[in-house]
Amino acid sequence: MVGHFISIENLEALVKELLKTQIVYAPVPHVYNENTLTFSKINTENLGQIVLNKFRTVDSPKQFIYKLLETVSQYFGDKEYDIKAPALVLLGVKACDLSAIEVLSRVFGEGEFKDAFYQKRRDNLLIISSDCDDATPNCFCTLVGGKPYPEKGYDLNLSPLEDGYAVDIGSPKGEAFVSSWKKFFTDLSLVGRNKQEDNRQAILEKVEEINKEYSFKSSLDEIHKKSLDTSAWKEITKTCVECSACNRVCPSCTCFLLLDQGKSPNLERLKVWDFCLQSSYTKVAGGANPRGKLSQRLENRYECKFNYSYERLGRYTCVGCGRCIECCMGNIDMRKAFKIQEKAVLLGAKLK
Amino acid sequence: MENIYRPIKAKVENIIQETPNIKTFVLRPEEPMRFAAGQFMQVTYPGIGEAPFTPSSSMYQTETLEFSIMKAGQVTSLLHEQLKVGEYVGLRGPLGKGYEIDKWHGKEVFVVGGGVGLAPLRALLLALFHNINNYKKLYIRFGGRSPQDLSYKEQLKTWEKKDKIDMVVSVDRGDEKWKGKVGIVTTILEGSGIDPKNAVAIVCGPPIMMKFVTLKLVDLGFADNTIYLSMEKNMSCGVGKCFHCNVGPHLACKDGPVFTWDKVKVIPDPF
Repeated sequence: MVGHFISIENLEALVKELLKTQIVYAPVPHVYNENTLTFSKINTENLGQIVLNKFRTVDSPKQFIYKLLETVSQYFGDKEYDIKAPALVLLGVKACDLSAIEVLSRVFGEGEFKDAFYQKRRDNLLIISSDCDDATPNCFCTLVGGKPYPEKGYDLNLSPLEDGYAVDIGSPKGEAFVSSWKKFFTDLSLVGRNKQEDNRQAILEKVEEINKEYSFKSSLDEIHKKSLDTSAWKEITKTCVECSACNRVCPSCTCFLLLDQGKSPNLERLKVWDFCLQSSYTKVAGGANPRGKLSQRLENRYECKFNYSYERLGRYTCVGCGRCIECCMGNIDMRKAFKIQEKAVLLGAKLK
Repeated sequence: MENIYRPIKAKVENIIQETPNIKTFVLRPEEPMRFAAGQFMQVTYPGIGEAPFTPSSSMYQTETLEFSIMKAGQVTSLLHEQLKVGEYVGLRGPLGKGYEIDKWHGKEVFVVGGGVGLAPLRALLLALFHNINNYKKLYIRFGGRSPQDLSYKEQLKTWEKKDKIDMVVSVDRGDEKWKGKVGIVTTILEGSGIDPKNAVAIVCGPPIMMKFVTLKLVDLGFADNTIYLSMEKNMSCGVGKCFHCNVGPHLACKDGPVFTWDKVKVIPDPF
């Protein structure tokens, strides 16, 4: 058997079935703007509004595994903290976000110290991803080594075909899911994969077309290595107002702050997302601030995504989702920033 | 899975006023906490927050830990103003990597400290004294703003008399009783007779002092990978997850807090 097939009717029936016992989130058009999608909790009423393919949601799935704010300790007693993380099914996650989840898993789940809070949420997640069949003008996954369709990181992936989906299994969890809901799936060889391949080629070309003016002579990590400390950063930062929206919408930003509160004996430690563009981020109690200038902080954000991450994890941590472009009130576009950096590198500028 | 954010309860056994703005807190943790010189810990003021400090006591002293803390921010002000003997704080650690003291066997060790930077260096020196015969000679160069801003005054006097130790202490501004050198710490680095080819230098102090001492050491002929710098950044998690303390691609909490100059000098604005 080359794979599985699920018809549109069967998929709807399956989700209905899942809703009886599970919490399901999926992309649904925003109430004020049908062209933007947001992850919504699915119920029998909005089930019909799920948009499985199209492009990525406005909000990233990071919210489900890495909470904006959560209690991580009630101090001295809790050697094994009781983490409340219900099992979730995420439908319609896109390739860029799967790549970002890989970043989160490596940051929180690897090394000498492991974050049990992230790990439990990740373990309790079933990811049913799907191919893009459209793109926003800000999508640039192809520039950072990605593709607009999932190749790894999912439990199941759905690629649209006539009247249904090709189902690819990406993990033992996905395998177990298909066998426990066997009656909804049929043999893919009856319909074949041709349309999946055609669609994938078409959307890949579309994203490449959107980004055709952004081709670079050297790799993005090379450009970033060489653009350290150049005049490029002053120019890129010109319209930045330090709002940190880019930090907030980024699916792969992992920075947080530990905050303590309460009065003995009711004390708690919170883990809260934090934002590297804010001036307080690096300021020390003695008053010194190694990144006191906004341009230094924006530079650090880019270097973190393309240069430092490459050194640390062997990959870019930017996944090309373009959310930071979409939300920037200063119209800062990463792709244009790369151009400015490349130009500064070519000029050999070493101005500050 | 163990909770990496949980502090361990530690009882305050003693508080020693070292200088007008530095106090040493002697803490007894409820669970054993061994560390290597150079590693740090997060000290929690309950309900307020944590801040990272390198113990100033010897790594061979295992029951209690000492932290010499300067009053600077929110947590340190409360530690200074509110905390009393018999009360509790939280500790997380040990975190980060220790000094590579085994790599320095047979070498001369040049230890340069300024202000509260003497605290982690005391832990280092106590570790070096423990096996002093492994090292050719120790040069200690400490600086403070004024005589009353120098920590461990009594201890410094006893160290001065030890074999294989060449110590100079300088203050930016002397007073009528001060008989030592006057001038910023960079002025006492020359003329020691140290052979930079067979030596390592360890620096800890305020960012501005670190910068100028490093440039001076390079000038004196120390190779970049023999200059060890304590990069104590704004830190939050201490375990390599929150990225607050990044020094370029490195994280001070996980890959540091001590870095050699060759790793740091390629980064824009390291201090």
